[in-house]
Amino acid sequence: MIMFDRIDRSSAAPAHVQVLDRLRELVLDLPWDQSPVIPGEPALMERFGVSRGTLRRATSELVREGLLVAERGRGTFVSRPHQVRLRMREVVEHIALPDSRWHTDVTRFVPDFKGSGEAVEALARSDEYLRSATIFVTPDNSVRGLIASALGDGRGVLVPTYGLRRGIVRLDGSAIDPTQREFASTLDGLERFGRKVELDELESTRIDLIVTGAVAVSRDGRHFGSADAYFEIEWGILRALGAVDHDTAVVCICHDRQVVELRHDWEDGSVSVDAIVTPTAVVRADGPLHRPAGVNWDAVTTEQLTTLAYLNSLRSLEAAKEYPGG
Amino acid sequence: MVDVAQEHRERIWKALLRVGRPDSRFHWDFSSFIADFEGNEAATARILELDVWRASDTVFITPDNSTERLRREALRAGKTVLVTTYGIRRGFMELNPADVPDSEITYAATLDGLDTYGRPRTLRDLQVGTPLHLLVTGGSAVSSNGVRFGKGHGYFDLEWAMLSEIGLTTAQSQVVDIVHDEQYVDEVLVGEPHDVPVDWIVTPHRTIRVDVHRQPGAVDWSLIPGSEHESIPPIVELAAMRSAS
Repeated sequence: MIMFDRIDRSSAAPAHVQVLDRLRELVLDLPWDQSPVIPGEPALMERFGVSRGTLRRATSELVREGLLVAERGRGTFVSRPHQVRLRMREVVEHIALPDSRWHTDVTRFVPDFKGSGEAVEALARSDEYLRSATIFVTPDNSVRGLIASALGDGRGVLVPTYGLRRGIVRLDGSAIDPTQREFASTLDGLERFGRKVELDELESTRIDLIVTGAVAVSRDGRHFGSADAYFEIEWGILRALGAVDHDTAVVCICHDRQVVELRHDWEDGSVSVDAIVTPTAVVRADGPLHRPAGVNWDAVTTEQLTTLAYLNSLRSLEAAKEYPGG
Repeated sequence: MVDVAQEHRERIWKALLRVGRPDSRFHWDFSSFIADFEGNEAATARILELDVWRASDTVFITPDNSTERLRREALRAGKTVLVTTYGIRRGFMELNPADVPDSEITYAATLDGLDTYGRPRTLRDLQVGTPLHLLVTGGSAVSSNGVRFGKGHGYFDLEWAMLSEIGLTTAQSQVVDIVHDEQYVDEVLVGEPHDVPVDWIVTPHRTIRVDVHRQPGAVDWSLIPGSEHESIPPIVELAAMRSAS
């Protein structure tokens, strides 16, 4: 295998393009259960048969794409969320039921899958669910079934609009006709039945359970969504406002094939899940509890700050607390 | 001419921020979808008054947010709705009123509901049907002579062309465009050769009859290769039909 890694000098493709292809493949194939750090430059130069300059051209391209992260003192390592999303794409496309707008473009949404109904039923029997009065459910197609059942048994349901662009809405089961529960659980239904929750109302809300879908989840509870950090931002907002606390139950519903064995870096601000519910099993996550105390402002992009709901107001609130009277 | 259309488009998008309604996925990105608008109820009611509506058992209605209410009214009236999936990416679907319980009609008329209640239809399935009397589309803008300048993807023109290829449209088929008054441009615009001018422009305040002479269309195969339309299922199917005959 390794001998084919050396670039083909007789090929019409330029050396740096060939190295880029090979390096991308190497990075994507880095085993889940091993260190995310890629081999050092001398090893890679020898492996591909290229100069340092050619190698660095490829490396910096992958850094630009976000697949690699270069940090002084730590070396160059793979961005696990990026790697997971790319590598899981085939699996997710295979199990996905299409979305009404995104169809099978699973980079844009978390799809529903055959068997999600069984997972929803299993979750509805869990202690976390039975103890809950108000639940927060991410706008993933795979967890719609839970919204419909929660509306049926009198729970308050909070759902963010897609991409948090228009905030979080509340669905009131007692005001929704039983025949409309399935409709209300869809994103189009949210437009009709949801009522936007303002920031001060979130402050006085107590959420007992968070349920999310996923592109993938590790056995120890690291969750990967369809796009960067939406779940973390949602958690951060709820946590900063006191709607959730350190111990609030977080459960992930996904397909069995989306559960992966993964060694990862918990220092990336991710929110751990307590349990993973699939159509065939309930897995208690065996990793440490990771519950950031608020929004990680360093990870929020300028675009997110201006387009996502609540963030601007929350940041002003926090600044006011930090510099009272200032 | 392109510049004139572009000018109108920008003014209309600004107006839509006032009168348009956001989409569940695209929010206010009006380049990605045709928005529902204030007064849609009145505009829809005007379509229900047209003779061609009463005469139709099956209506083709585009998957726009501005035509959602009309899909609901069609199902309520016991009409079959022929519709495409968003961007035609998964071809045509049919909503049969017999499949939809009364309490589910509102849901079935949405795009999310279409995935639950719609049945996929290939062109081969559709070509055994009788020709359509009525096709209804939304649009981001339309001129006084019935030229639509929509999202710029040309989905409706392509839908018309594909339905023409299988004999579902005739010279008698009528096309209705439902828009907000802000989307109506009182100017004569010259369209592209493949544009399908509309017979009726319906807004919350007006019903405008346009004098157009239109024949069934045909897919312009010179425009397909390399375009975003190349991989949509009914185009793939039509291409296979062509090469077989």
